[in-house]
Amino acid sequence: MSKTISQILLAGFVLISLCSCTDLKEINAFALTGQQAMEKGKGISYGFEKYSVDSSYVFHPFPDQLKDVDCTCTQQKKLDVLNKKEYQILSDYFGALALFTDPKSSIDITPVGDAVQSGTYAGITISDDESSITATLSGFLTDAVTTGYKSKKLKQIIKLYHDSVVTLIAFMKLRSDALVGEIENMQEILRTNTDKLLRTADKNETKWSLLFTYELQKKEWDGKLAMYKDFDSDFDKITAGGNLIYQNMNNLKSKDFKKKLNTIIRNLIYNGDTKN
Amino acid sequence: MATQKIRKMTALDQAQFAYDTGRFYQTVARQIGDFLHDNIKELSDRQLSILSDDQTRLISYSNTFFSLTEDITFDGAAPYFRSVTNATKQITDAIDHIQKVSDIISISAGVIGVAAGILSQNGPLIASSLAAVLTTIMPDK
Repeated sequence: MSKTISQILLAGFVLISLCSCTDLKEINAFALTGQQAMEKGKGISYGFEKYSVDSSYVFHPFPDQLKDVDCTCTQQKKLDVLNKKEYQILSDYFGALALFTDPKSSIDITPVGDAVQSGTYAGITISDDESSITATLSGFLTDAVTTGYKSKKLKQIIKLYHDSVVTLIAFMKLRSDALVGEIENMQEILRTNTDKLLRTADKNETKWSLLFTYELQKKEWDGKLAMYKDFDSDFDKITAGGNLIYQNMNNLKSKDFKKKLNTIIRNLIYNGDTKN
Repeated sequence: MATQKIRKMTALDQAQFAYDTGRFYQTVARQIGDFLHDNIKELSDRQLSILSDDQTRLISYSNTFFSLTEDITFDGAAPYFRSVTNATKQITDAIDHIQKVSDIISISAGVIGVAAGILSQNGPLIASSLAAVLTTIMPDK
């Protein structure tokens, strides 16, 4: 299914949900939108592995042989897998939140079951704190699937947002921002190397080749950076929405709360549309 | 000196500090890149070599901090980290207005010293390198 059709279906589903009569329809709509955002995050194709392949060329621009710029990238692949696992855990969390607010939501959750292991992967650290949060969330989600989505547990899952999800999103956002920083650094090295080579190149055909290669590569990375910056914005809106729900946990029927949450949901959907 | 009680940094605090420091090093590296870009025809081979090597080192430090390492803190680190955080904007603002190649080289060397101090958990090295940078950007103080 194309992204556009999927986005239209989601928007329609959210609108139907907003128009339904349940008291928790706004939270349900927020959860569905949050889940969609996490699924998109999970699908990002340019991660640490592809960055490492590119950076091995850029940071070693004058190799004696191709072997010098080979990247086996085992650790980077592992980091990408762990990142996707965290997106999956959050997708499951929002799916569970949707089911707690409306058990008829058409969502199928298969919790990942275990924690993301702490450690340093390709120079990037996943702390014990972060690993522990993923263990807590995975445990809760497995339990929720087993025992069913009873509304009396709603406050527990909202509290879990405040205690665990916010911090996990903060860790994921930092890691995503760090990758953006590394891609930007790679661009900077490419710019300086191109400028240095242009300074000494004496033939027009060499200059043209350098210029063309530079522009082509820069445009490609600019596209990746724009994609990451969009997701950064999703993280912020989801954090704001979740915090709003937590702060109004005992006042979920308030008109003011519903109005504010609907604004966040609309912005999330709009941001999803602009990505397509 | 009065002992100041400082809240222990959480793993998220440490990752955030590492990330912010990575951004600072990236900004300085990019400013040096802008200087190179604007003056590439006028710089001597030696100046170009020093500046581009410094830029590579700054980017390498930036990437090291972007690893979001937890091992960045050490006993008594807080005042040193605070002084670095407080000086970052002053340093990046100053580089934007500096025209002398020797000043740019001197600042980048000092900033590299600060990074080496942070990563080797050497407070006095952080302080002395930062002081050298501040002397270059504010010679009258």
